[in-house]
Amino acid sequence: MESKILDIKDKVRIGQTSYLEQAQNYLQAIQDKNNQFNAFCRVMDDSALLAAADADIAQKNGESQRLIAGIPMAVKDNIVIKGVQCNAGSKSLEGYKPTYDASVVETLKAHNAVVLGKTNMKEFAMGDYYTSPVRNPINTDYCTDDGAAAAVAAGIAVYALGSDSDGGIIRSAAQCGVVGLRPTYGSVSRNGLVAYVSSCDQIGVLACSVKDAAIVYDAIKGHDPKDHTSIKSTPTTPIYDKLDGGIAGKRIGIVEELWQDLDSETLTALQKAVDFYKDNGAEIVKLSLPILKYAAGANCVIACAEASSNLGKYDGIRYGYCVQKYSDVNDMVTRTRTEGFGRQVQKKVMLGTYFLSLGHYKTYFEKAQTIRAKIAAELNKVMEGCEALITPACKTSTSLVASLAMPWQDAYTVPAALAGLPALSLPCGKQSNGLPIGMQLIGKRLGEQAILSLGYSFCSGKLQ
Amino acid sequence: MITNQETLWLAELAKLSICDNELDNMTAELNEAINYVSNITLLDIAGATYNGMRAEMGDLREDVVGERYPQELLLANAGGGDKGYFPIKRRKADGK
Repeated sequence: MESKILDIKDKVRIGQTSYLEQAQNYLQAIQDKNNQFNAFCRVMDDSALLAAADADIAQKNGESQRLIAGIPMAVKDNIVIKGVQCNAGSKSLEGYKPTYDASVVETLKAHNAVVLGKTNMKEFAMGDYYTSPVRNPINTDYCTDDGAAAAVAAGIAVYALGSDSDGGIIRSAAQCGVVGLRPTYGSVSRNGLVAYVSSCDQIGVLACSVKDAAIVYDAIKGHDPKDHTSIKSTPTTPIYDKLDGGIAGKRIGIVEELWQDLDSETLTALQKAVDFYKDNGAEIVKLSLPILKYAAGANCVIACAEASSNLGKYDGIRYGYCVQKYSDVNDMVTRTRTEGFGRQVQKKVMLGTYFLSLGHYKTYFEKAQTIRAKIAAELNKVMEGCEALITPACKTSTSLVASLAMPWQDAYTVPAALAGLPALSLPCGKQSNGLPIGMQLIGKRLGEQAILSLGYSFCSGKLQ
Repeated sequence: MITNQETLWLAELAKLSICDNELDNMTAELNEAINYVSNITLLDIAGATYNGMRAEMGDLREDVVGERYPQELLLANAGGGDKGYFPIKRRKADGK
């Protein structure tokens, strides 16, 4: 399907359905199916139906509406919605009801998007699942990293807003066989996103098709003064209707260091994708960036350091979970954090504390940041001569099986995150067990249109 | 390699507590992670310097005072606060 969003809009336009009926259908589907996948952690029936009814009224009145109006969608639980419990997958935020909307949620509400509910996630997007893990809708024997991708794959949301710090959107999209867009850092506001690695965190899109991902990106991109890292020059013109850029003459890079440790099925699927681009006139350029061998290590240091800093505020005093038994304030904070954080999160906070401590700051943190700067510079340089880089999205066969216990397996997705570059995850094949294989297209800074166009051509296959 | 004593020190700095029967495992896991990242310490990046995050993070907002959140919103998740402050109840270890 080229666009589920446009398909619904067409059906509403000719009176075949209404936004309210669509919302009711999706809410029913959540009720029927969510217990199989655990994709949603909270459903927002009332507000979803109200938004859908508003979109119908606007439609009836002939008002001009954005393409996201009336479309049923989901929001990851680390993106705050005013008055709606927000856990970010952690016990430490039990009872927390945000007093404001994230900027992207303001946009959704302003345009009558139908927010069906919040999706489940690993603790702060870095730990284990605090509640039951999300099951992969393709095969529920397997877990997946994120409920947002699962909700889209299960057909219980048309699209979802997710977050990506070191590849969350890219990996979970690949695991569930959907499309995932991690936009350029700063092109979509982070205001209202629960912070994990602030210098990499980015809100992005999970959708059924490249066109839908582009439609949603068009709706949420743009400068936001509430986010101090928001890019003032983010283009605001729509790109969803400009994805027919073709392939001929485009230069696509293959970075040797990002094609390693792959099983034969993944390698074959990726090679076929490369052949598709080559057969349709793209120039494939082989590259080597040895510095990328250090990307995962540098990311681990930076992620843990920023996590330890960002999670310092969870003390039980201002919001969230607080223990009832304690002897003094210090004891209260320590008990609250120990009971509130899961083991993986505790470990990362302690590692971050170690990397930032006086004796280790230069050895680890400063070194990691220097490596990061070098990675960003080298990636930006090679991107001057390429439209995109093509890489695996994740180490498919292993990360699917053991995704709950492999915190450092982000080698393919970390470079783009560290450099703040946009990336697109696309299904490009299937394993013999039926699970999807994903590929990643990394673009230039603010080069979303180029990677979405290449992805669109690949998925539509019309140039073959 | 870090020791159990250093693990306890890190936990104290991070305001976490590690129980005795978890200490060996946590130390082992921390060492595993530190070992995993140790390859970055071997890399010689002659001439490269760390100049803060500004270059990677793009054009940052001017550092000027902006709109403030109303106090009642900031205190809303702390039971509304107490006379404008975040309240902490005086308790004994038995919870009374």
